[in-house]
Amino acid sequence: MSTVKDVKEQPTAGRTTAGLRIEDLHVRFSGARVIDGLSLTVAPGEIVGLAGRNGAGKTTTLRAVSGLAARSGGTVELDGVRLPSRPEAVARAGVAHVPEGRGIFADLTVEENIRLGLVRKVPAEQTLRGALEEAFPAVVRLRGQKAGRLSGGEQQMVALFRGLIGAPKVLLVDEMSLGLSPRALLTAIEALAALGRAHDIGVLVVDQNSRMLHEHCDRVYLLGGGRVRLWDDAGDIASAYFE
Amino acid sequence: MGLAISVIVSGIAFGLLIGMLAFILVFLYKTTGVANFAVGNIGMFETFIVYELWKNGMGLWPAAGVGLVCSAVFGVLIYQLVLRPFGGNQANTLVRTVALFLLLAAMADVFFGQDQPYHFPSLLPTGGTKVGGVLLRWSDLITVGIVLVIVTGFVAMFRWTRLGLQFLAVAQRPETARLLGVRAQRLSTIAYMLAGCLALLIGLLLAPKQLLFSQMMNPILLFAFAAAVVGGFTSLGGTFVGGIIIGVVTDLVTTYVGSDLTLASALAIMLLTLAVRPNGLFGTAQVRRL
Repeated sequence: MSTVKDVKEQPTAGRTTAGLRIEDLHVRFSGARVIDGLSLTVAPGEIVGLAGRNGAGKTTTLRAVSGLAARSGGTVELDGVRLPSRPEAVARAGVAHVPEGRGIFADLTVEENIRLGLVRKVPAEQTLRGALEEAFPAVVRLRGQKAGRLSGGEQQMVALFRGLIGAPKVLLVDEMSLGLSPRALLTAIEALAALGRAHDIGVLVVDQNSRMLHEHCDRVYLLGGGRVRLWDDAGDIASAYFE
Repeated sequence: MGLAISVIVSGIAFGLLIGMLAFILVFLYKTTGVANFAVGNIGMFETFIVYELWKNGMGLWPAAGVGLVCSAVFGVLIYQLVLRPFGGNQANTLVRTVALFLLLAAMADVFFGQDQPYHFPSLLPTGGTKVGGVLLRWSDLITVGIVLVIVTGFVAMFRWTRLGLQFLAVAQRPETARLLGVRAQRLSTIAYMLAGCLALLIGLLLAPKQLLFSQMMNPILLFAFAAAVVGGFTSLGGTFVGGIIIGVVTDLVTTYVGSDLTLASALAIMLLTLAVRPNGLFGTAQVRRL
C-alpha cells in the first residue's frame, strides 16, 4: 500500500497554459540520465514543493529550467511559450532563480544586490516593492552593508528579495532552508507563499525538509529515479525516502 | 637627489602605463574569465595603423582619432571572431590568446615591418619644467593626468551605472549574474571594445618614448603581469598600485644599477610579494562558502 501515486493519475489542473509547465524533461551528464522524463506544473500564485534525497536531481531540475544545465529532451514552457536555452534569456522571459548557496554578491552592498534583480527591465511595481520591504524589513535596514557581512539568514532574505523584485512569473528557490534557523525559515516561507499568492507569482521550492514543504506548499512532488511523483501524505516519509 | 626625484616621477608615469595594461589584463580576466596575453600586441598593431595613417599624410591627432574608432571595432572583432566561437574550456581560450599574440606580431612584421623600428611622433609636448631644481617632463605629467582621468571614469562606471554594476556582477559570479538576466556575452564584447581603445592609448604613449616595432610591447607586458600579480590578480585597483611599484623600482634600478637588472628586479618584486602575501597586496583568497 503506497500513498505515493504516479502523477499521471492526477487530473491536470484547470489552467494548463498559465505558469510553468515541465513536460517529459530529460537531462544527461556525460551519458548518465540524471533527469529522465520529469513532468510538473506550477500555476501562477501557487507554491509547489520539490523534495528528494541527496543526488536525486533537485538542483539539476531547477538548473535545467533556467538554462544552466542543458536539457536533452522534453519541453519547458512558461505561459504556453517554450523557454529559451540561455540563462539570461530565461531570466528575461520571467523566471527568477535563487541558486544553490544563494548567489549573493559578497563584495556588493545589499542595495546593489537588489538592483541586479532589476536588470531584466520591468515596469516599476511600487506595490510589490512595498510588500517586499514589509515582508523583509531586515533587507531595508541592511541596505548599505556589504552583503558578504550578512548572516546566512539575512543573505537568504536578500536573495529572495532580489528574486521577487523583478516581478517574475515564476520563482525557483534551491535549498530554501539551508543555513536558516527554524524561526527564520518559518518567516521566509510564509512571506514567500503570501507574496506569491498576492502577486500571482508561481513559486517552486526545493528542499530536504519535507515536513516544512508539506506544511506550506499547495502541492509537493517527490523526485526519485529522475522523475517526480505527487506526494500527498506528509507522514509517509519512510516510503518516500527509503523504498 | 634631484635626479632621484625626477627618476621617481618618470617611474610613476611609466608605472601608470604598466598599471593600465595590467588593468586591461585583470578587467578582461574578470569579465570574460580569461586573461588575454595578446592585449599588448593588440595595442602595438593599432599603433601601427595610426602610424600608417600619419605617414600617408593625415594629421597626427585625426589619425589617432580614426585609430581609436578602429581599435574599438578591432576589439569587438577579436572577441567575436577569435575568442567567442569554438567555446571550449578556459585553457583552450588562453592558448588561443597566445596564438593571437604571435599572429599579431607576425602580421605587423609582414604589413608594416620592412624598415622597423620607426620613430613615432609624440602627441604630447616635449620639454618640461623645473620645480625646485627637479626636472619634470610634460609628457610624464600629462600621462599621469590621462591615467587618472581614465581610472576616475572606470570607478564612476562601476559605482554609478547599470553597466558597471553588471560588470562587477559578472566578475564575481558569472553564473548568478546570468540567472538575473545579465547578458554576459554582450558585456564581454563591450569589455573588449574598451580594452582595444585602452591598448591603443598605451601604444600611443609608449611608442614615442621607445620606438615603434612589432616586439615593442613584450617588456611592458611582462611588467604588467608582474604588476597584476603584485596587486592581487583579482583587484582592479591593485593593478595601478602594482604598476607604480614596478615602474618606480625598475626605473631606479635602470638608472643606478644598470639595465641588465631591470627585468630581474620586476620579477624579484613579484616573487617577494608572493612570498609575503600569496594573494598579492589587494587580492582576496579564493574561498568557497556555502
